[in-house]
Amino acid sequence: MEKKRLTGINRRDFLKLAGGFSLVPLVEKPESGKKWLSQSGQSLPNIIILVLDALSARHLSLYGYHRKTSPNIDRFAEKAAVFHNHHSAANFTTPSTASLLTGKYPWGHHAYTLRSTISGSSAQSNIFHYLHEKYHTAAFSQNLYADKLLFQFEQYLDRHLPADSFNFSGRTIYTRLPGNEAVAGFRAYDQFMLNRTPERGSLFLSLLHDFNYLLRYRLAFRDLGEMYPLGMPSVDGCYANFTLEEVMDGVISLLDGLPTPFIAYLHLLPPHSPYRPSTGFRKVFNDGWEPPPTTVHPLGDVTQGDSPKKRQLYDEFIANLDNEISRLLEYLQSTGLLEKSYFILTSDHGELFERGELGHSTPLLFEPLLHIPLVIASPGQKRRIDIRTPTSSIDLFPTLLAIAGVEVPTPTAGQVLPLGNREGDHSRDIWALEAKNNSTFGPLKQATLALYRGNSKLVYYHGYKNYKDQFEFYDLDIDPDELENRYPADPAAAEMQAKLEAQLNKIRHQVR
Amino acid sequence: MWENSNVCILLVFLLIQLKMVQGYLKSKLPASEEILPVFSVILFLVFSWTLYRVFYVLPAWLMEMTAVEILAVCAYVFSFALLESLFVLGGMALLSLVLPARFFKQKFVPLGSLLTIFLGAAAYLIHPRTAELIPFRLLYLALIPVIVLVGIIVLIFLLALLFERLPAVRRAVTALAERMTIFVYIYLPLGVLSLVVVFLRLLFDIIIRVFTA
Repeated sequence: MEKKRLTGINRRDFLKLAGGFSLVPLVEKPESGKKWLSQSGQSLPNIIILVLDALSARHLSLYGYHRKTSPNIDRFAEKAAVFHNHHSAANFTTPSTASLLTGKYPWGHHAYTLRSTISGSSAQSNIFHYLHEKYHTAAFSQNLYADKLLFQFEQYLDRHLPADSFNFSGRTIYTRLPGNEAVAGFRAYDQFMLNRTPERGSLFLSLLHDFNYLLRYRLAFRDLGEMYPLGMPSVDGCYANFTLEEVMDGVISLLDGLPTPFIAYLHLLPPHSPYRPSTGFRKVFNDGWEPPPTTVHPLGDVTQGDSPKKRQLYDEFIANLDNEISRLLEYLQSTGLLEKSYFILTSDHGELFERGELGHSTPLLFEPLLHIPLVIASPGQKRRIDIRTPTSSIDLFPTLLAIAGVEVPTPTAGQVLPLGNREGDHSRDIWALEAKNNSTFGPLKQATLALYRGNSKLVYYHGYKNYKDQFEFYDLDIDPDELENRYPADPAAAEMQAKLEAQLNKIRHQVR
Repeated sequence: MWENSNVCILLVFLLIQLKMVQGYLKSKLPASEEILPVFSVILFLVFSWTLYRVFYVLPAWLMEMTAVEILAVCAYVFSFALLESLFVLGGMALLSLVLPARFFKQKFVPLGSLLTIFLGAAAYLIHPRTAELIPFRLLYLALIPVIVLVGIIVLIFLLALLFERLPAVRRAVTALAERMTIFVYIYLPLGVLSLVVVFLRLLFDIIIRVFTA
């Protein structure tokens, strides 16, 4: 019998066709391998952690700031525990977020620099790992450097929203890559080939990328320009814009769909720079106020610009954010979620507008950088509790484990927070470390180490050329603005110095 | 999934049927012997720039990443550079299709090479200044691609005239482009190897996720 060939298709064409079939699996985005947790154990409270990037407690009216920057948070705090002496473990995102999520000081997780990741063994010891069995775990970070850390915990996250989920314009590339490759993709594409610096790695396509962004931005700005006279809020250093309203709508919609019990880690970028409050909040603090004058620190940057203006914009941005947080709180209250959840409002680090710093890019560790808010509303809490025990961001880790009834791994540097009527340890040592110019892998050669004990604070600047091995001592009780360096006159300084030096010798050679 | 397979089949079928236009494309596109030198110049510019930037940030990377992590990032970076080179080559091919043969296809090697060099220099100069476009009105932004395209076409015509008036320049540029084919043997394998590494890493990751679901 004569075989009939398919019309127009020879062997080569058939092979091309077969090749088309092999593309099918790649067209499909792989489903998350995780199955949703079935609803179980409603006796476990939900946990909502809201981290507001670069929010300093010193700029919140809740903590006595004279500008009314947080009226809604103030109101919310009337039925919550307010921690007055809470400090971050570092002065910028990567190490401070790593400390919050792993319960380790920076020398424990070695994420010293902006682009670092957490060391392998420490990365396994994260809150999602320990709570994964009992909770549905969800995470979202607008901050790309914090989001990169979340990819290290990907296997313990049931839901990990891309960082650009609620962006008005500007998309990231790395979030389109599957889990383990996302960190490499972030470093290769969003941080190197296409990032918003003249030194990026792509010669031609980066320009197309810029143009695409600019066009979309202008299109968006056509409708929103009046609402944001200083430009739309953006992700610092990359082409991505968002509105506070849409981000909060997105957060609410995320919480709305989560199976209970859940733990939701929500890391929002505001009030991180650029400070772009909407029209309704512009010039609300045009009062001409300035803090007590300070001199430029030897490790500050003398080229930094207008600090009163930046400070005012920052405060206005906080007020704008506070307004949006009220919508989130309203949602949680109206749906009854607040009654069944621990709601934790905090920050990763603060912001400084003096001594040669406009932001958080220098090695300084003054209080506006380290003193961060912590407000925890327990389920059904009806009255305010003020807690003045010194606490650290590393304490959230054991606290959340205790809430979930999970055994806290030992050793752990953090302590369970003194919620309710529990009395905390006032004599406890709290640490903070800044080592952004130090290698992630080598010994500590250049770092700023701060030790808190009660109301005393000792800071050691180690290895800096312009300020070699200097100590600074402050009594935060009588000098909360750190205007008077009492080293070495204060008798408490000597004892704390011995402790600090011992600690530095211990951690200096702890390499990754 | 079934709908996606239908789309794939349709696309492949259309590609096959486009055989009939292949003859047309062959007449409009330069020969492969002419494409190679131009591609060499493109590869040289794209990869050299990327390599320069990689070495610039390498000290910072060494502080933050292990050697394996750096190699993985480089694989992503150079695979991107290869795709970028192919994109630029595609742009040259498109110009060859659109413009009269006398002005572009017949002088593809010198024109394509010199045009690539000019575009590379322009890109280098524009890089630090893209932020200045942010205040531009939407209409002006939308006009930029038109202006760029017109500028490229005018440049092509001017260069074509130059090559006709000064054949020595044409010969010099052609000779330079031909000598640069050495970079194909350096950068192309680097790009292809990087692409293979990226593909395998992604495939491995997908397989792991499927089997641990």
